[in-house]
Amino acid sequence: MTCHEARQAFSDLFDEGLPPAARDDVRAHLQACPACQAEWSAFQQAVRAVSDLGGAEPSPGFAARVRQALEAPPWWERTARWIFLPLKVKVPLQAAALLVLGLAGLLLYERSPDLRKRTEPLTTRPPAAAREAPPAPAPPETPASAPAPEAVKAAERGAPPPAAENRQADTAAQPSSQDEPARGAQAAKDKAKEAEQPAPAADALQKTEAAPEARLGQADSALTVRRSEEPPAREAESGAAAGRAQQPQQAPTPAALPPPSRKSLAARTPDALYSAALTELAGKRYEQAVSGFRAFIAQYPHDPKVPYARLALGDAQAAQGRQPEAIQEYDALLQQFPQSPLVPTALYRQAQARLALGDPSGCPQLRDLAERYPRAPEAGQARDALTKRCP
Amino acid sequence: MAREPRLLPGGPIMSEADRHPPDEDHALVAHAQAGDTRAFEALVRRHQRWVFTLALRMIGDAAEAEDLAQDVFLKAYRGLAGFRGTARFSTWLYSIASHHCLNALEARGRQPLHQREPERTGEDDPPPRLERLANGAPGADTLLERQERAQLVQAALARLKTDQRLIVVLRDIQGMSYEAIAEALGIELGTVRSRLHRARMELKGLLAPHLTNDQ
Repeated sequence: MTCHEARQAFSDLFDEGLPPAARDDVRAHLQACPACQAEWSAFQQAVRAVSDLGGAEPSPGFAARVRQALEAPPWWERTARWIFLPLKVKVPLQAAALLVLGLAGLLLYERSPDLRKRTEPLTTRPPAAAREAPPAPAPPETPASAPAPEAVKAAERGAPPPAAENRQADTAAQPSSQDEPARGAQAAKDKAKEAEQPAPAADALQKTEAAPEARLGQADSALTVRRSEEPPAREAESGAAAGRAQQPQQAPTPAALPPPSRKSLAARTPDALYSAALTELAGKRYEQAVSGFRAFIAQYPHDPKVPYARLALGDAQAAQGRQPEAIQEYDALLQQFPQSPLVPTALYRQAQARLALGDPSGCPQLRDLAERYPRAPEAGQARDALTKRCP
Repeated sequence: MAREPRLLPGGPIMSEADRHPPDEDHALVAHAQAGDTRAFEALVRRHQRWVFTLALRMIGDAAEAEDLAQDVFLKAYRGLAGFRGTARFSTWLYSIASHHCLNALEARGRQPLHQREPERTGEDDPPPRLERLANGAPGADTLLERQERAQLVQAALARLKTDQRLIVVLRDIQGMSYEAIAEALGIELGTVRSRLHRARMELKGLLAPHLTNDQ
């Protein structure tokens, strides 16, 4: 059997799916080939490591949330309820809101001359007798606000201006169609007035066009500031990675700062601090361990090992018989990291500390642990402790 | 760690989903099909662990996995009318869960989150390991090491192709048989075997440098 053939059979060999003869051939090859034996060991370790991941539970109340999602009304019903219910509250509020909007619109109309002038021809129409008389010529205009020639000619001959033809066709049955000439002249007047205002608009446009450049400059400076601020924030968030990378990320000039020595960096890395505290704990120097873990947490509050440091702090205090302090440390872990996989461990050890003090609240805590985390190793320990120490 | 003896591939290996008697599942399904949401909630409780585990190992993020798991159950509820009872409910649910996870990953257009890979710190004298505290409980460093190992393995899983990852999760974590996997995914038995082998060899290559020193 070749090495390739042997390695191709690894999966079947692991799952005991080979016929006996083939299995013996593979095993014989593995005994004779150290390289394949090493590969086989690595294969087994990898598959077992995946199996050891095991299962996981969703957060408490998952099933109830699924049922709530199933029972939730459709979106249109939820929208209608949100708009109209409760009736006694929402309908008056909505009516009041409409009233306020209406008053605001009226106020705006009263205080805006342009708006009033635009709507004046619609509200002040000449009586029916005036429709029979020839239309009056256009009022004298200043040169800057002269109406369009076509509109003036149309007004003089009594025909609607070209722009009003479509409107007249739509409203042919209405008596207001004969007002079109006057309205057209007014519209032409307004257009001429609008034509007088290019300068301010152009100024505003120029200012707007100039603004992007200034904004780019501001954006550049903001980006520079942000870049200079980034490395320290990144170091704080992943102190372990930054410490291990050992690269200065913020250097104004290459020659301005001397490269930090490996030794001085090693003294400040989170792993070094944590390991030093762990060494103290292993040597039963509990006071030094407590100081070390506290310094680690203070310097690297966002390091992923902080929950473990909290647990170790509690253990160090408990080892010295300081149960109240231990309870506080476990509580800090539970409060700050409610989703941590260490929660069952912290709950169990905190309950044990309480029972050691003669505090009966340790018993309900053990029951709660066993119910909430039935598959955690500590659940079995909690059930044993309940049997032995709790009524 | 001693492993329990396994039967031949394709044999009735007890997976998490199959621990519940199928008769009870069918009774609950019947009630749920009649509109009883509490019956469906009971079904959710029976199967939520493995559905969530499948989503978690595929996605790598607990919050997203919970959303996915919820979507799986909602989809299952809406499709309950189409469940005839000819197969096990768990097999039918596995099919929904597997395809939903694959579709979700494809829609995201990315691999799941890469977990942090712990590196050796490089100290000359690594700290002594606190295997057990005086009362026999594992010390904080052992728990940390387990957590880091789990993150490492999850990161390696994340590097597999989605179809290979799914096979590994169903076989090596969920404990499904080859036949059950083939039925749930709608593929041939030979495809399951070959895909599983390639995935495991890939994992071996990714994990070997990190695991050899620990064994």
